[in-house]
Amino acid sequence: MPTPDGGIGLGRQLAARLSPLAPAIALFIAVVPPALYLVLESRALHRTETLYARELSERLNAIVLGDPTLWKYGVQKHQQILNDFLPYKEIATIRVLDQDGRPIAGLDYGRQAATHAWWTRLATAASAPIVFNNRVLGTVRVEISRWPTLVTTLTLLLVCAAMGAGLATLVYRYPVAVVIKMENRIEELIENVRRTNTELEGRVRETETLLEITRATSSTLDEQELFSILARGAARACGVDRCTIFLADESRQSVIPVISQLADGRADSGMWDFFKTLTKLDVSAFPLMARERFLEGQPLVVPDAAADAVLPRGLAELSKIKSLMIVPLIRQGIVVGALLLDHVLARHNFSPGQVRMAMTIAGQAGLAIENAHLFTEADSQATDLKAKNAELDSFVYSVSHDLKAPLVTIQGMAGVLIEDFAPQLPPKGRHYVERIQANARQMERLILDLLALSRIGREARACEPVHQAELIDEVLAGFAEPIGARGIKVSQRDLGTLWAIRIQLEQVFGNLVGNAIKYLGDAPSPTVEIGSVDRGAFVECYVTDNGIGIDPAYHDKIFEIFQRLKEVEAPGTGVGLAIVKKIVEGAGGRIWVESAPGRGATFRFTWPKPPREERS
Amino acid sequence: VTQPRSVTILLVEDNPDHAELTLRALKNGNVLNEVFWVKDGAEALAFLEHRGPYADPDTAPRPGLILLDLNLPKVDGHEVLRRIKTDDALRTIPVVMLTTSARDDEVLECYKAGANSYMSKPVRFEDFMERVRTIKFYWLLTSLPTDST
Repeated sequence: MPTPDGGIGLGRQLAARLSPLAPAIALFIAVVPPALYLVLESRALHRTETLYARELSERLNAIVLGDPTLWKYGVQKHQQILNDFLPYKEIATIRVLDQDGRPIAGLDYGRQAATHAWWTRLATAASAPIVFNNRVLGTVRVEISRWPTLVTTLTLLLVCAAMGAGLATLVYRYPVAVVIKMENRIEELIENVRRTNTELEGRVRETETLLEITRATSSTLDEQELFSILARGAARACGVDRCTIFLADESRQSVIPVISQLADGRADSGMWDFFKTLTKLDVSAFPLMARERFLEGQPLVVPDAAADAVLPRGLAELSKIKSLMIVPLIRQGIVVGALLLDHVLARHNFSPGQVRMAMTIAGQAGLAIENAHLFTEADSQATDLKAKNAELDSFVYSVSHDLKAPLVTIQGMAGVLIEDFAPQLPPKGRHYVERIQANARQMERLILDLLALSRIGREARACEPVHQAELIDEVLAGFAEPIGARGIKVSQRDLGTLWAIRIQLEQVFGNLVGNAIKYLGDAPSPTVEIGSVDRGAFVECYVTDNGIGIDPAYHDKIFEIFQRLKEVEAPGTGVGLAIVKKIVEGAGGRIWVESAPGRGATFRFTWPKPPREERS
Repeated sequence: VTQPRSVTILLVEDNPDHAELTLRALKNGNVLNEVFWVKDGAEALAFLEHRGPYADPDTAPRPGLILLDLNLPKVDGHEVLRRIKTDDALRTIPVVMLTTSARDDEVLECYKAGANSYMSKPVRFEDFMERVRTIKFYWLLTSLPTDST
């Protein structure tokens, strides 16, 4: 369980438990063995005293037997008995009392019992009776000295106290020491885990940031939005207050700040207000070190911005940067800009991890910015292309229109020439004028086709449901003459309704049917079939013939403007299929041809169905 | 007895060749009405509103029919048509637009702006007569019987 001071406190807990136990152990060890010794020794001494008392009483009995009345007075005999009895015995006192309890002086040995100290009470002197004829004539009391026992006990007490204290200390100290050691180890482990965790969290954050940046790369191709995500992500991931992105110009002579953001996602208005006034920041304005690092594509880490001036003066004063790190943005090995990561509130050191992170983000950012850049470029190219196409269309339109005026004159004048001067003209002259008229007509068709081509996509008309069968009938009516003359068998199959600008669809079918008829060749039983197949999201229409066919080499070319098959001398402008293609593709469809020389041709095009809401 | 002056026709055409062809078509069709020819939109408006050199109604009488080319310098045909058709004094004059292309959107626009008819150039007499009939102008025509009719 973690304690407030961060450690788990096992040592202290154990110490608290052990602190009453240790003195108890010490006390126990100090007291119990001496006490035990004292008691046992006292009892042993008492037993010995009893034995001695009995032995002495037996010896005295012998005297009593000899002289039952005067035994008390045989001093010599008493002395002899004592002399025989005493040696080799640690006897402290001997008292022999008569039946009246009076001591017999000759048998007294040692000091008076009355003077005995308190401890003699532990074992009162042992006594044995002197018996004659079943009468107790006296009592023998023997006492062994307690002093040695007491001294031993005290010594033992001291020794045990010392041992107890030592053991108690050991009991207290050792487990606590072991636990504290373990605890330290555990704390170390915990610290390791915590550090690993922090590191992992950092990595996760790094990965998340990179992921976010990667996601941003794919989710937005808007440069400004991308810069914002990059700056915010970099500031957060690197644990700095603010991130500013600079982009370099192609010569790398200057950089332009594109965004300045705080880690919490807010734009740094102070910095930005300043940046907005900048169109560029000359690289030469940076001190040498920063400049070199930047141009070499190396990161520059400055923990104390005040000590190392690495920013141009104006910028340094305004930015209030305490610590900073400049990491180059590299795209395809070329420095294209830089990330300026800084601390504004307080000075910080940058860990290698932070620098690595910043470098990684910068690498990712370089890629992301390149993507956005490419997209912007592609987008503007697409816009350019669109504009160019529109321009081309309007050019074609105005040229066609302008060509029309002289053509009108040519046609008119040629007509007048024939009308007014036909009689004067020789046949050759008339032929020439007719050729002029024929070519003027061809030119007129060409101009009308070009106008039609340029108008596709600028049609102001709306889509409407067009019944194909009805439309095809109208188209075929226009070709009634060649159909009749050649005996062409025309069939229709599965024609439905298309959602289209009617006149455009008419142009499509008109051109395709016209081509089919035009290129029938000498087929013995010429046929043309017009039909459609429902393909789900779109309708596939086809116009097929059994005419001369088209070499696959020309299958793409025929849809280009002014590309005509040279095999037959057929009238045409070479614009028809270009018009068809432009109309079909403008409607969202596709057109192609399936054909081989001598095997007829099938033109197929797809036509999208309208969105559901428009069908009703 | 002074014969009343015949109804005049105003031709607005910048291309002299086209003008020549148109005038010739009318002449060959024996249309004897006096035809005034102006070369651009501004001049046409000056003629109709009696401004500048056309201040005298004698030299610039109110026409009975206007043949108006669409593509004109200065003020284009559409604008001239709009001015005619928004002018109370002029809007009853039938206007036939002349175009080099029979673009249906242009034609539609002209009709919307109040044009009475239109013709593709070069102007042929047959086309002219057909338009004149459609707009019921034929009774104002001063013509000699032609060989064909």
